[in-house]
Amino acid sequence: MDWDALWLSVRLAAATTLVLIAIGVPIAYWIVYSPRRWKVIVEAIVALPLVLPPTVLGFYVLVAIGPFSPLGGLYARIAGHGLPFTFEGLLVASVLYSLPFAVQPFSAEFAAVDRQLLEASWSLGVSRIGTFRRVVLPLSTRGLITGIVLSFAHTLGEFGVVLMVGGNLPGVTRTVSISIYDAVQSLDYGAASRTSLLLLAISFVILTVTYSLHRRVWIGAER
Amino acid sequence: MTGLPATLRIEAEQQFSSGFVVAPKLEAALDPGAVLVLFGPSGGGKTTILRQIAGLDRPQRATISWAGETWCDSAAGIWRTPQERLAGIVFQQPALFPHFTVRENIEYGLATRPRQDRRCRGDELLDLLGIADLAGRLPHALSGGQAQRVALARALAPEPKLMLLDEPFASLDAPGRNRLRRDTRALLGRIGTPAVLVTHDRAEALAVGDMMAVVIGGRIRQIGAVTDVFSRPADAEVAASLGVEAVLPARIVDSVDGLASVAIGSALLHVADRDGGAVGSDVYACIRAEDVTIELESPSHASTRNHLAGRVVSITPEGAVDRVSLDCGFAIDALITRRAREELRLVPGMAVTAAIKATSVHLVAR
Repeated sequence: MDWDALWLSVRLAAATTLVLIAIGVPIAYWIVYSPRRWKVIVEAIVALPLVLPPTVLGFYVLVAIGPFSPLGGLYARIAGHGLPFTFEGLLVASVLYSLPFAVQPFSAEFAAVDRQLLEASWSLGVSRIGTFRRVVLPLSTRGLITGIVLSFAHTLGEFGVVLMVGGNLPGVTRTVSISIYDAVQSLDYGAASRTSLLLLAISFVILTVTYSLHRRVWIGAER
Repeated sequence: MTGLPATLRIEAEQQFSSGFVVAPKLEAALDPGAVLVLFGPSGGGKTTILRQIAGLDRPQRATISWAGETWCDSAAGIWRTPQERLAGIVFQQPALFPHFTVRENIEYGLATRPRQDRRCRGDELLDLLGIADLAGRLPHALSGGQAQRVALARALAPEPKLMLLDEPFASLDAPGRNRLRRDTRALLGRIGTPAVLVTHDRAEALAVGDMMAVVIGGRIRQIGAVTDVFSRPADAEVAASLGVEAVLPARIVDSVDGLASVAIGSALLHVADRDGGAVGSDVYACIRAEDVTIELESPSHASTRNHLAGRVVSITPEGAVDRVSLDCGFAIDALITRRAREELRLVPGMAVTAAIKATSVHLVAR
């Protein structure tokens, strides 16, 4: 059992989820409430990781954060080392890769909040941001939980992007899915099956807990 | 009531993608507690006008001002947000925040005030609306009428200078509707807040309104005191939207076993009054021209309760029937067939008796 890899995966998934909450909520808010027509382009960009092969996404991220790109060059000058094949580089890639799994449940739930509630709130003198915080967010717990759990679970199971951007450095970028791949490559089927089973169990438990929570929240709202 | 009237001025033009244009033009001076009714058929643009006033809809071209304060002037680039206008709005649906209790809903718009103030104002409104016992409930545990009371309290809490009511009673059952109408009217009068009320219900316009603007096809076709608009519609389309009934100011002078006597000027009418207004209260008596028949002399045995001596003023043909305008101390029309008119040999100036069944008179409380 590759505990290092598992621990790394959990850390990566947790960090990715935190970043996605921080940037996913504003993006979802903007997508739902902006009157701009070209927001469909932003929606499409957010959804791209759903249809792109992880290798394509990984390739572009690798190029974008590499030392020869403005972004990667800037980071290398500040941090003293490049982004590729580091935990931070992996985090950037994971955030992009899981973006739709956070933004889509968030925005679907925001959009489902009755517009009259917002108008009532504005007419009571409460700003748009205040209305979002006091009315929209509390009524969107279901979508927020879904987005958070999906982001976490999806990052936990990512493979292609990690391989492209992070490579296979034990304790740094060797996540649990890479470790399973390695085990199979070296014909260590026992290790592969143990790690696979653990990942399966973790994913299953997370999703079951979420769905039961979901149900409670949902029934609570309807009661 | 004290205080000066405040003037609402609107001149707007808002085009929808369907091509429908809502272009109201109106100026109304509202006394403290007075209610301006926006009346008209569904889809005529009443609600859009209310949303323009609230700042929830932004017309392509508009100047809107309230009490000397410019809320919108598209030419000068002035735009006040709904937050800045702070007009209390109540929709047809209560639109209460489902995750807050009744008290939290009412105190929602008071977040910037100190906690003690909030609490005080909340108590005050719970009392005013008679919902103090519901303070701890969540909105899903309220009846329709209770929820609308909470919505009213919530809108009144930040002390708006103007209330905007978008058919707030329409989703309630008849008894609840009448009660809340009366209470709302009395409450607005007591606290002196003027209101604009959207409705397509003529009884509601009569019961709650002081002034009335008739909205048809996105435009204001007539504006004036409620009784003036009902008694002197500007044109045929306005008259049709108001209904065919005569609306007569009256007073209940007696009420026994569901049979009320109402005085209209010097005349007395017997009315089967299901609503049971109190003796001495002012009402409107509504009578359809179809329900008025004409007799030449007073019959001694008939089931019809009301026989009023009068005089024929004019006769106007309306297709197969004739509209006979009578003066019985008050003006009222009778619709009779041409043959009946010929048999009775009616001519202007002739003395006749108008007969009206007690069940044909509909009373609306004022």
